[in-house]
Amino acid sequence: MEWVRNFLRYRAANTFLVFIGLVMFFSLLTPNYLFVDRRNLAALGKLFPDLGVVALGVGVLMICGEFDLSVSSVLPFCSYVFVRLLYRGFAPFWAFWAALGVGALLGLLNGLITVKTKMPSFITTLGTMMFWRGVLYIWSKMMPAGIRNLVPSGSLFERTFAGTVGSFFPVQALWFALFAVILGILLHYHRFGNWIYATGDNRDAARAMGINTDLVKTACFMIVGVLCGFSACMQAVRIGSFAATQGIGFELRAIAACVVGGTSLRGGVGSMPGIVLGALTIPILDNGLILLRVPVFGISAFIGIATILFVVLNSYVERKTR
Amino acid sequence: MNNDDSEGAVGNPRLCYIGQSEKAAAYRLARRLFDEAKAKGIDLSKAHVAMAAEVPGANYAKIRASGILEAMKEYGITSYEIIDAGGLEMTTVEARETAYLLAHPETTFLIGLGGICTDRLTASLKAAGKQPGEIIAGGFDTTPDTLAGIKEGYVTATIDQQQYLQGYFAVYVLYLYNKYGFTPNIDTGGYLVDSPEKIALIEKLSPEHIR
Amino acid sequence: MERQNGEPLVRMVNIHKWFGRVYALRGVDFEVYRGETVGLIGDNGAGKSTLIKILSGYHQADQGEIYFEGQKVRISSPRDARKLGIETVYQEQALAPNLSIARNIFMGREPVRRWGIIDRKVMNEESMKALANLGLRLRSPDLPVVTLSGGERQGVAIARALHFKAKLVILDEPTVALSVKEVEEVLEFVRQLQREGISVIFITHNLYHAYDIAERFVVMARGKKMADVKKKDTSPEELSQLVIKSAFAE
Ligand SMILES: Nc1ncnc2c1ncn2[C@@H]1O[C@H](COP(=O)(O)OP(=O)(O)OP(=O)(O)O)[C@@H](O)[C@H]1O
Ligand SMILES: [Mg+2]
Repeated sequence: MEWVRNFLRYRAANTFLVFIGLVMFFSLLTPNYLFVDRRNLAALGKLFPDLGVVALGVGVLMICGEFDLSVSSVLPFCSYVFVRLLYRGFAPFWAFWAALGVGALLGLLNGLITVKTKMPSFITTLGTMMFWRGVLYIWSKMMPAGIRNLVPSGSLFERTFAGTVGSFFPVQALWFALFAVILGILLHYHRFGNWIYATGDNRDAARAMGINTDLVKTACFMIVGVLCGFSACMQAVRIGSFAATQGIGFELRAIAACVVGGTSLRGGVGSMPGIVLGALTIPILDNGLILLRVPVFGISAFIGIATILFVVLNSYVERKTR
Repeated sequence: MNNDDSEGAVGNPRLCYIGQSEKAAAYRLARRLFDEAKAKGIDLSKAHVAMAAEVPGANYAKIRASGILEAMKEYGITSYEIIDAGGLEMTTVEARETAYLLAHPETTFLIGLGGICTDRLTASLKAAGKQPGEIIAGGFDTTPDTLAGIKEGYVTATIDQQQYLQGYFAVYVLYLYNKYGFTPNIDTGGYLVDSPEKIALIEKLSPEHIR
Repeated sequence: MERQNGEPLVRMVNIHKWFGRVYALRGVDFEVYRGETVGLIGDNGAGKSTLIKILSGYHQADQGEIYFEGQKVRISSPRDARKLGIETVYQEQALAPNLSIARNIFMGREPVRRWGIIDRKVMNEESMKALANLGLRLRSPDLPVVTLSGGERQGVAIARALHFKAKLVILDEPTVALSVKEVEEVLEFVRQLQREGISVIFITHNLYHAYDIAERFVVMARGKKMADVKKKDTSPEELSQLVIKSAFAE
């Protein structure tokens, strides 16, 4: 039952309550109960994991005390690697693993640069974000590259990453759930998770207790990279092409999702249930508001206010429970 | 080149402009979509036009929207809304377009003002449970899923910018300018792609550097 | 207690340490015998923390040798030190405030089942046992350390040392910023260590605490050892004089 206590302690509880509140609110108040309409749930379920999967990794990284702004460039970079390899005649299966490998490699690089230079990762990954985006723009010439004929709709590979289970349930949501469970076990049940928390919470203490904090951080950067690679392929298969703008804006939105889920910007605090809820809350807010027919022109304003409210609420609850 | 200033030559001190006349192209696209509706017997006075823009404040979106509004006036359409599609990221665009379609069943036309919004039209229409042609959709650029949408009948028409011409004429005009001081404006765009045959043509000519 | 005749548990010989241009240790000899408690005293910046951080693997000496149980050893990481049985309770607390008591006690040495999954049952039970050994009764091993008092936190850190069967426990200013009652608590924890026959290095600015608990005193100033006296040969007042004199001596 430790996870229940963890759940409460790591501020996921208020996120959960607000989440339930939002879901009920939208379910009851959207015209014709559109929010729980099968079409809407299917659309939500297949779309939110693109960012969601990345956010899971970013959350783990934030718990160990680092940020990764480069996700918005690593993701399209991996996507382009995937598509190029398909064009070269590689089977989707191998192109996919290569994209994950490139993601891991770029994550490794982020990690090494950060721990070796001892610079804040906010700066180092800002640098790699710009660098990889530049490289990608030169390499791809920003031209979209279709892959529908290489990964045909209905093929096993397409169904694995963009299909449905039964006639309705989007497979992307299952992938998201799978990663959430794996990372949740890692974070809360595995010894490596304890090292992640210790590193983010008090790096000197972790080091004094013999934890290789550089290794922990680098590994977390690599987790983010691999998840970017995964999300890149999943998205490319769904939209049927590489697009140079894939992942744009993900860097800050992933952080926002984690913060909404109770992850601290200072490291050491956060939980997998919280991150999952955060990754769900923002798309649901976006979706629900449009379904309520608010003018779609100013919708980002609502999202912005909601994010701030969450942070205020979280820090208020934190002060109360201390 | 490619994206002109909203005031044309007055707005910036350029020599000349090579690219599509954005407003004229949008106008032509809108007319094509409205004609399609007319042919289907839809009462245009009750029609609703939704325009999705990646960056609603950006110039391209404003000018293209103005072209569409002009066509709407001619056809007697009054109801419209501009959707903030949430940026250049495909998934966000798809999510917003889908939710909009679900929430606004009165929508008759869905127009992507930019290439990404147009690319996601087909996916959004499918996700919202629409049949091909049930909502008349169109937009700009010839990205992979936009062309697929035309083939499947979800997208009625899209505007091709003729990138090759843009590049070709740019060099040609620079030559003319250096040699004779000529600075002609050239409208390369506005080629309306609205049938699988035209797609085939584009796909054939693109590698041959004619388009 | 005449243990000095036997072989020292730890002997540090001619230790030098630079931090950039700061010459923090200038050839220090230092030893601790089995079961002995040494009070390490001296003014701010004397080099006390630096010396013990070399012993606990947090820093490496630029020159000098370390012998543990008669063997020459290289301590190049905290892990090495812990393997030898050297546990440190740092001045800057070596606890992760948001982690639970049990997770702090086992930080870096979690008991695991297959696949590296933490064995919570063992971890929680052992934590409570270790705390109870110190006479510390806490409600639950799942409480985050932030919710504890300063004295209890030091207790957790010391329990960690006790649990892992340390031969030498180093306490760097464990009583700083604690209330009188909490100080008494911590001194009691140290007495418990002494009863278990564990050697202790106790760093403090409070000479009365030092005098209360230690059997021998090493006075440092500006990176050098200035004096080494046994408890029976001195008094708190004399120690205080020694510290002040050393600080101003050339
Ligand atoms: N990591 C470091 N980098 C640079 N200089 C350091 C570092 N650690 C200690 N020093 C310097 O080394 C000298 C000795 O410091 P140390 O912390 O060992 O003193 P101390 O005796 O523990 O003092 P206090 O009683 O204030 O804790 C000081 O001049 C200090 O500024
Ligand atoms: Mg000190």
